[in-house]
Amino acid sequence: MEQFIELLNQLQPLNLIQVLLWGFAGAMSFYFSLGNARVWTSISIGFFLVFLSQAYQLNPLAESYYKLSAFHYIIGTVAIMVITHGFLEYYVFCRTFEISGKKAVVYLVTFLILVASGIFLIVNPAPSPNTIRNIKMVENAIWVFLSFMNIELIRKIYSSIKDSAISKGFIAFGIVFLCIFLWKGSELYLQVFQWDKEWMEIVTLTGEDSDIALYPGRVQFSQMVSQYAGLLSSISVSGTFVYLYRLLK
Amino acid sequence: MSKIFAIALLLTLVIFSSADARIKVRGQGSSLNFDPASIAPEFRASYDLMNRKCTKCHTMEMVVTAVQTGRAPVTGQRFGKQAVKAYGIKMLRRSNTDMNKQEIRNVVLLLNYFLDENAK
Repeated sequence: MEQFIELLNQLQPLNLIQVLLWGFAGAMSFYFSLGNARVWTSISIGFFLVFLSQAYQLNPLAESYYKLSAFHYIIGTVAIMVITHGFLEYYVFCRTFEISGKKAVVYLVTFLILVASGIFLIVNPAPSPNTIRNIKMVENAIWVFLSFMNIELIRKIYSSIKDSAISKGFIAFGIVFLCIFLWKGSELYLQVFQWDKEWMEIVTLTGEDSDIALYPGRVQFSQMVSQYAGLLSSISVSGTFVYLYRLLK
Repeated sequence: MSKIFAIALLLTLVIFSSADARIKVRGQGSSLNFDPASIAPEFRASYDLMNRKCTKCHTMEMVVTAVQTGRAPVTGQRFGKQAVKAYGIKMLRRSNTDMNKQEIRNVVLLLNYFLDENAK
């Protein structure tokens, strides 16, 4: 409990609100996946996984067990892959009205991918702070690339179904991915130039040089974009699922 | 003659142990600590700092055990230089450490020195 309170103290208020909103979005998307057609399963499970990946900020064990910390970032990577798979399925469904597989299979395969990722971490050495940062950077790179791809997929889905009642829901998803693109993209930008918080902590201890002081404007702007776009992502996902739920009810 | 040789061999095997590479320590149980006399002069100030500040939350016995065994006593995870770095980062993030960045860095360097000495 003491560790949990200390974690809350370390969190910035905006980050705490963001995690709580992702919690709400995760609950909404999971509930949505249970009560809706097979075509929504991957999309909603993926957004639920985003919450699990963000929950590391409230997990007191992740601070001490480095493999657990790395696992949260791997869940984030799996999340965007599952979401993208879901939008691809939806696009194919729009064009062909065909959808294969059962909901249970989607849940099971996602679970097995997570188990395999866990085994990968167990059989490998405990990741160092540098390795955890690398895993986080890979996660952000995949999110940025696939968010861009999803925006294009969503545009195509919207073009196919623009006369239906649900089409506005896809505009909302487009806004979601724009926010996510900015959120993850700004984090990736800071990481690539080694201006992110984790790298700063590492160089504080290793004594390496950093050029962060030369670019205060870029760093502050990127940090601000990351913080607010992250917050808007969680709000927009919650809003989108509430809106879709009402539409499909 | 062969009996004497066999007994001598047996005794040798029973009492044989490999050379102990461990860092020098003093005290026992919860008062176990590194031997200050064996610490290089440039790390003495960091050692004093560690004894003053780190012991507010845990005993030095935990640190000695981690350095000697290569395993963190609470989590059971490997305790090497990367783990020391991770502990340093954990301390940097804490709001209640009562240590500034430079002090945390000095303790990290001291722990790395202990690990090197223990491996000699």
